[in-house]
Amino acid sequence: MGPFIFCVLGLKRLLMREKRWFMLYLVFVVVLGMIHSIWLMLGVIILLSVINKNVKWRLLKKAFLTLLVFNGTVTLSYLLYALFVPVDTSILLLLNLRALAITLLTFTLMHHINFHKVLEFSHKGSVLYAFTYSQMMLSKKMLQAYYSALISRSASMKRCIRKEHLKPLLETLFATMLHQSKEQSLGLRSRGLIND
Amino acid sequence: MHIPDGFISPQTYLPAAVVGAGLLAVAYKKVDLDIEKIPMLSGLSAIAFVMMLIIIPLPGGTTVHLSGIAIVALLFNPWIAFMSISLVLLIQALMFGDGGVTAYPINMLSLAFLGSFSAYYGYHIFKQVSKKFALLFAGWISIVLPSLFIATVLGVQPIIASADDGSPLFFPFGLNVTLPSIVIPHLLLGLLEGVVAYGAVHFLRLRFKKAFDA
Repeated sequence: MGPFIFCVLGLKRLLMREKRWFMLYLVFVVVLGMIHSIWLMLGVIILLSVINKNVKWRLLKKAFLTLLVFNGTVTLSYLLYALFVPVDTSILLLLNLRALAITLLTFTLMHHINFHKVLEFSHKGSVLYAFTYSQMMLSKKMLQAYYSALISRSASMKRCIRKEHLKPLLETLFATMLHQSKEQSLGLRSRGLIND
Repeated sequence: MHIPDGFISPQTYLPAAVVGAGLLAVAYKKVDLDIEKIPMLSGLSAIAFVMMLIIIPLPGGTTVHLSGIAIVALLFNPWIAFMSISLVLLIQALMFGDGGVTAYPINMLSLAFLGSFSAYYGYHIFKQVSKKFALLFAGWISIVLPSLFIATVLGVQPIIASADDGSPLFFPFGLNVTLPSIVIPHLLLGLLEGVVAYGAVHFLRLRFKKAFDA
């Protein structure tokens, strides 16, 4: 009985830890949005890099690429706009540093905690998240395999789907989804989670 | 179309988060999410996620991606679509950085809520006239309405959150820039989404009749 109670208490503490970190993260994100200091943003980025130790370059690279892809267009267009209209371009630095700090913070949190545990306050929510995430990864892999097959058949295909490929792709995608859903339902039923 | 991090002020995303959470609570109640439906809903979310990954080439060397919102809303119902797209957006924001965490409430309200409901009701308004047109319209409106909402939210940021000297603290462009630059391309993109929604819904209903009859 003793080890069992110890395990339950340990598990409870772990769950609390995940939720506590997530709540702290949300508060921190809001605080970052309310501070308009470039130096403080830089400080947060450096602090997060120190916390991340061995994975700092990987997470920094991921956050930087995200920033480049999603915030890059606005930064570039604002710089172009500044060529014709006198505007304060220093705001761009704050905007991008804040975005980098929040993105890095998100990736840091996701690296250190198990998000599935954050949702455990709702049984259905956590089950739904686990299933969705696994299905998303599965579908992503399937799509990548589909792209690879297309590329291997046509050098000019690159990473685009053409009209004639959409039908078989949708069929495969949907059939895979239905098959997976059926399999997962059977799995849940066999574990007694679905009562007939 | 997802808004990234750093563009939306807390004055905007905090109230939006409250509204979004309320709508999600209503959705979870309405859909009656028993454990047996979870695999199907997660599968749908995965489909919507993959739809956003499917890139289609446009003349001139550019590409666009589908959203799949209308497809999910029409094949099932808008509340299910809202739930599944919201979950996809959350996972995208947290795991891939695609759409910011601070922008998540706005992305959820625009893409998941407005996109799903506009597609569903758009289809039901016009289906008496022509089912083909109704499907095309559903796909078109599911892209155009969220883009209008996103353009408005982004465009009001310089008014809502600016420094004492008037310089913007978040998204720097006003409505005069955001409305034409976001809405006009989506008016055209919506046509493609409409064609894809028409093709996909028609084809999937025909090919997987059993799944929708169940």
